[in-house]
Amino acid sequence: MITSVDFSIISLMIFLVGIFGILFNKKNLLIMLMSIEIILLGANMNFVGFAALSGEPEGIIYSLLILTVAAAEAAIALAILVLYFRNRHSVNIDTVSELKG
Amino acid sequence: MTEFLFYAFAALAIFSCLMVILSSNAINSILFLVFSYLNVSALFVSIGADFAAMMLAVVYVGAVAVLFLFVVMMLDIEYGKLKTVLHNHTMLIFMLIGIFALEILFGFYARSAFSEIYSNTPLFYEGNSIKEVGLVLYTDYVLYFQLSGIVLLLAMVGAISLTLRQREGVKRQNPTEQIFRDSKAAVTNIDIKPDAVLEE
Repeated sequence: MITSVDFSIISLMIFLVGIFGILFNKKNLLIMLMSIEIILLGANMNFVGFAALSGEPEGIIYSLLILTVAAAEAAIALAILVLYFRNRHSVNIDTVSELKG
Repeated sequence: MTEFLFYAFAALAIFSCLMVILSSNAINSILFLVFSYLNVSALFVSIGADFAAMMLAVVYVGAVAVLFLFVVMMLDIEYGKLKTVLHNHTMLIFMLIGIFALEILFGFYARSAFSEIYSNTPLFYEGNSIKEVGLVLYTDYVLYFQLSGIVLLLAMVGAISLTLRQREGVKRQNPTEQIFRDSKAAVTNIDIKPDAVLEE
């Protein structure tokens, strides 16, 4: 029997893997963006799991909204990444602090 | 059988999420990201939320991951430098993550000790999830639906205006100038004699 405890623990593990990726990553801005996507995936799993537990469709609607925000965030962040690469010719995090404005 | 498949997909999802972070090649991490999305969508199917599973597969795999792939293709990053480096305060990060995980787990078990519904009810979405989502989404949550459309529009406009650049020496059309051209100023009549020699 699959219970909501199992599902929540799996989503918690995915969420923690995402946080781990952000904290551990020192070099690459692209992997950081992917870690943010993994964090949003973990939050999404929680919403869908508790929607299935309660039998109400609201949780799935909130997961739809999270999905929208994740897509918008990925588009903007990748545009900024392309701009940054055009100026610096790398995606290294260490030189981001030189940005002004 | 369903349980075995559920745990297999869960293990594959967590493994591929870890490989996203740990792999040294950016293309590999994006493909592992796609793999983890597909596994999580299989988990959604196994608890009966088929609309959420379809949405995850279409939006994430079809849009976000392809966007990442295109950007990696355009950026031409050297792969040797991509490898993630461990900080010198590794222990601190492990402690922070461990404390966070323990806190959430403790809160979860404290709550599930009070009510048996979390550990006794099988997790399955009864009923037609697409129909129910549609009935609620277009009536009670119509404002959120419209607002998410505006968020997507803003993201599109922002991404285009950030990456658009005008270079010097490129011929382009100026629509305003083109619309306001006057035929009297632009066209001139030249009276040509029948025996005249045409010159440049």
